[in-house]
Amino acid sequence: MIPLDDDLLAALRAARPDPGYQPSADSPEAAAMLARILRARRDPARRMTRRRLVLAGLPAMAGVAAAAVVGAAVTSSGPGSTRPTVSSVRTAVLDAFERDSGDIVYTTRTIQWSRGPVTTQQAWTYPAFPVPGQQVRFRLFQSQNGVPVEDTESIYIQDNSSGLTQSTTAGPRSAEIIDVEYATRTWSRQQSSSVLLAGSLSPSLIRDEIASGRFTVLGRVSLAGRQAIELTWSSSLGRLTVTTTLWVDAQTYQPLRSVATTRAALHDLLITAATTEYHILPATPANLDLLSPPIPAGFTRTASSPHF
Amino acid sequence: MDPETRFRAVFEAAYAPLCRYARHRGLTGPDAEDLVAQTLEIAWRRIDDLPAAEPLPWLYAVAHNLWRNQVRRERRRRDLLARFMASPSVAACADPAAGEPGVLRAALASLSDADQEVLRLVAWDGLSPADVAVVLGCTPVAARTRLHRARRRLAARLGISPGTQRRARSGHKQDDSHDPVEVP
Repeated sequence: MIPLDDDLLAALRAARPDPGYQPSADSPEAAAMLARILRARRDPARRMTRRRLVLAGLPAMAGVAAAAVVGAAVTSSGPGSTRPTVSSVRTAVLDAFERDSGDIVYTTRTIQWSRGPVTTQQAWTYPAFPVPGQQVRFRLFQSQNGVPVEDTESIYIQDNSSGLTQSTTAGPRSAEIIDVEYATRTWSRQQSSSVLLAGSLSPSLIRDEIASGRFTVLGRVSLAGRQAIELTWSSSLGRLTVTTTLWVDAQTYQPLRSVATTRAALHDLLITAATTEYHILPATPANLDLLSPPIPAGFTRTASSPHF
Repeated sequence: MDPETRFRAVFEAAYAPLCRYARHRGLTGPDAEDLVAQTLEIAWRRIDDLPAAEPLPWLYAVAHNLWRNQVRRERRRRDLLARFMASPSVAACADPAAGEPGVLRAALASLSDADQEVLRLVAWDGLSPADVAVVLGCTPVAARTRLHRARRRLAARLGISPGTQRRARSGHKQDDSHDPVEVP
């Protein structure tokens, strides 16, 4: 450190953000980071690359909870009902996910942008929780204000990464992409280094949040006639705060619905509200056919998609 | 010393300064962690290129480049977000801090990116002009010149005249009437 030779720089130094911040290389976070870096060096496949991973769901953020959107459909089970503990809910939900790991997860999501369009997404993920080396099929069908926009299937091999990342340092390295573009009435099938991942639509996102135990159990409620347990958690992405409310079935502990709201911290302004419904489908031949986007009659095949 | 032992020593010495570097640029949580981790990951991959005596300026240079890329990505993301919102200012990065630190930080934020960075490197990260030169990829003389000009522009933003901002140093006469010549 050099001596500051004028008052202005000294004042500026005093005005640095968070002067009490004392990170330590001995902290658990630092130890975990060191272990990750050393592991990456030993496994060349995990080195940084410059490829693109396209995440489905909301761009750069998960949607969040507009309580008003679902308030009418959710009713409390009353004061007599007991509130399950975080620990018991965590164990039961993770067990349910384990049972469903070979099934198809079908999700429908409606995203309301602030004073903007309504985007609807239908997604199929198979298997629900893939293990490294397993082939993954993910289909995303998007509409805007009721008009079909794009229908994409991404087929890739699951790698060793924990599953969800926006970084290009991990994740699958290539995928077969079948892409149907409604605006241009074209479709394509290609091998691409840009991989469409489920992103915030992935059931792994919920599993990871539940596994972390960083959620609050709000209680038992009735959701569209079914007994459910209501959970909530929040996270920050820069100046955006994402709050998620999740309802799981009180008997099977499978996810039923999540509502996510994204707010800008500065003015607490609602940016998006996203409601997602979850359905677990057995991997029957008929259900597996749902993972392939249908090619509408009259659409022209092209060599590649402009998006991949 | 084998590479892993050397890297562990570098990690030990650099982790805290790099965390503070990220914090000083407004990064927190996963964003800050990503910047530190990516910087150290590059150091680990290029351990043979790391200067043995003074690795920190080299690491700051890597972090500086990564951060600039991150800023560019964030600006693109903000532009995209603005297209979906009636009020683009929601995503703006106004600093609501009040008081003297807030005034100073606001004045700093009003400078060009280049001026801000050279002042942050010296005042917040504690680098010498020679180290700043390594980070910015210029000569030490050029680094001093950039610092001098950035400091003068910061003073102007705050309404401080050049003559009142410097401490009197015995035996030296300060002359801010002209800029030093920048050596490219």
